[in-house]
Amino acid sequence: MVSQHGILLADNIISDHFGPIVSKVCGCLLRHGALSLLEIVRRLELSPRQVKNSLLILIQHNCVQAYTSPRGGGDKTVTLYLAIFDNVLHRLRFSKFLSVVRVDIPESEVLLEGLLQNGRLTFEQLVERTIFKVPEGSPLPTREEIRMNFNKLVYAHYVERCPKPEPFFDPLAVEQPTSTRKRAPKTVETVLSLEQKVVCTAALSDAERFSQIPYLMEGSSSANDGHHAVAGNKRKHEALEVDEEDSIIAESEVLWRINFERFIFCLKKKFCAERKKAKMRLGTLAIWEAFFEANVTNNDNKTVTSPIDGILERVGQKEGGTSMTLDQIISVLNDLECTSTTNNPEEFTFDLNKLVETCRNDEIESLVKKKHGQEAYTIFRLLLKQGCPVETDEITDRTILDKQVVHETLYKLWKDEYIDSEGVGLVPYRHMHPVTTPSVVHLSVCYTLDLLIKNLKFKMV
Amino acid sequence: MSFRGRGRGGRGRGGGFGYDHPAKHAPHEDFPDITLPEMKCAKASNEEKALIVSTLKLEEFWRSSCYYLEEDAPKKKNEDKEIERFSDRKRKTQSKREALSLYLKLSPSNFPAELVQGSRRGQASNKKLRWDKDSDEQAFEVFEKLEQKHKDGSKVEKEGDDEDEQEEEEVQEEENSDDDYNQNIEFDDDDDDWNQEEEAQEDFYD
Repeated sequence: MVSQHGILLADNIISDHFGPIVSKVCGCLLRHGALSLLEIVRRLELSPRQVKNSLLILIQHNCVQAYTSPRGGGDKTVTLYLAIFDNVLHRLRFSKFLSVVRVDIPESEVLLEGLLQNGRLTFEQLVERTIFKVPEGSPLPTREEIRMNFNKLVYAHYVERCPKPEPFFDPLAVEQPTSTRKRAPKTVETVLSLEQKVVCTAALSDAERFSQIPYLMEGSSSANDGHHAVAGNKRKHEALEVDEEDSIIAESEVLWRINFERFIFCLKKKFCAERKKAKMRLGTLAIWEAFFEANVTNNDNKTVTSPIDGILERVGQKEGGTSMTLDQIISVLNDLECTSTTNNPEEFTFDLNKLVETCRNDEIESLVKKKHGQEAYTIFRLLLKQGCPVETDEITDRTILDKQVVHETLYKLWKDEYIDSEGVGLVPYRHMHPVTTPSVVHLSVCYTLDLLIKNLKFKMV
Repeated sequence: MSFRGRGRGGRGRGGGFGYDHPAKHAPHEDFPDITLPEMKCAKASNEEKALIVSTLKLEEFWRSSCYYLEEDAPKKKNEDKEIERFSDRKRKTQSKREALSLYLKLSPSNFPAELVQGSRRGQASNKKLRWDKDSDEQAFEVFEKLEQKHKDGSKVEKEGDDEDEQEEEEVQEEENSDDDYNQNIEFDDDDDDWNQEEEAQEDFYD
């Protein structure tokens, strides 16, 4: 479940962009989880028409995913709507997404802007919009030019085909039927939330998600030919044999949207690259920059992988890197936490999420220190490092602070909702006799993103 | 309380704690110089400015788009006709938002079936969509420029002292005044509520 601060932020974003009615619907879904249309109408006391339009808008802008779930016994099913909290927050990053494409594929920026503004569009709609936006007197782009620019976005995985509108998902089932999905990892170590499971269920396979719009030779007769010639492009695409009907469907009926994962990966990569630069020496900086420049496209969107040959080539071109040997470079890469595996010793991988989480924790700890002082910082850091509930007495022992100070500091942090407490045993903490029963208040660090959202609303990566 | 005050004062004066601050009568300064905090927004880099402009543009688009659902205004019945305000009439002339169905592909292959039931599938292909409100503003700018050119043109003609043109302008003014005069003839009383429809038409001639 999303924290209260997160819900407030999401409410504000949706209210600013789509108005108070849509914001009420989205907020209701965030607070209560997946709900059916009737339940939303009943809870909010809005008219069915208003709720339907709100859901249409939220689905159009990728903030809600619908799915079908069994209802009771038998074959009856009900359509439930689930808010995608991360996608709501990503709306604050749209201008950064545009800047990524402005640098990488500037000729496709207008197309991406259309998808950001409208959520989901067909290729036909994008063509119409692009032509509409051309200033008077400027030459109009051809349909093939627009298709080429659009396929560049698809090839780079910046845009994708929209997920299924209403997939079947049974929360009680052990394993979900995902015969077409290839994105699921082989070993699932973490427990996925309902939101993640629904999103995975709705997602198309990678081959389908990033299937480009096929090219057709203009003026070719399609009546007798079974094969169509394909126009080549700079990125060396394979020839596709497609029917004209498939092409028409791909252009006029398939909805496209931006691929949030890809953009977040690009922003994290940029953040991690910049974050470490300030403290690096010249030689180390050259290797770090070369590592990111030699990055091979990753499909997992969590790590950056670069081949050693690419790294060496780029290091040699940089100042301070010409005289470095292979062993020195490998040693520096290992110090920078760029690791290689025995299966693939020629490639080095860096885990972005690890650095992002470390930086996030550092930011939060500095905020706690600023607001509540050194003792609070010490206690908070201990709880973060543990990652699990810690008893009050243990906190006192490990931080070597006075018991009274620990209690006061814990109360201050709890009051500000930086930490959460949970009691263990049959009797609540307040009612336990301090002499006969030991203190069994367990403390756990609450969702750290809560604090990040509260204090860092405008400093998102 | 006064005793305590005196006592404290006595202790302070004679106590020798080192706490001796004789009162200084300094002239009152209305606006003393203080160092203001550093202004960060003016030092934004070009990249940050581009991000801000981009964000504002997106937010402006959404606020004026068909995706922004407004609350339905309470319908006023005819019984309130007597106290209908001028601003209520003005509201009718404001541009309405486009329909959601023009931009959304409302079909069961894109949205849940229960949301698209009853809605007409596909959009009117002949209708030209207003993809960006900025283009409308540009159109208004063009009209403003044309109006300015027209005004400038009329000023130049006056400065040229061309009698014919003046006569034409006078004729035009007379014709305009004829229109106003005619309307006033038909229009009996400004306070007559039953002639409000004619008033609305009068507004449109602008």
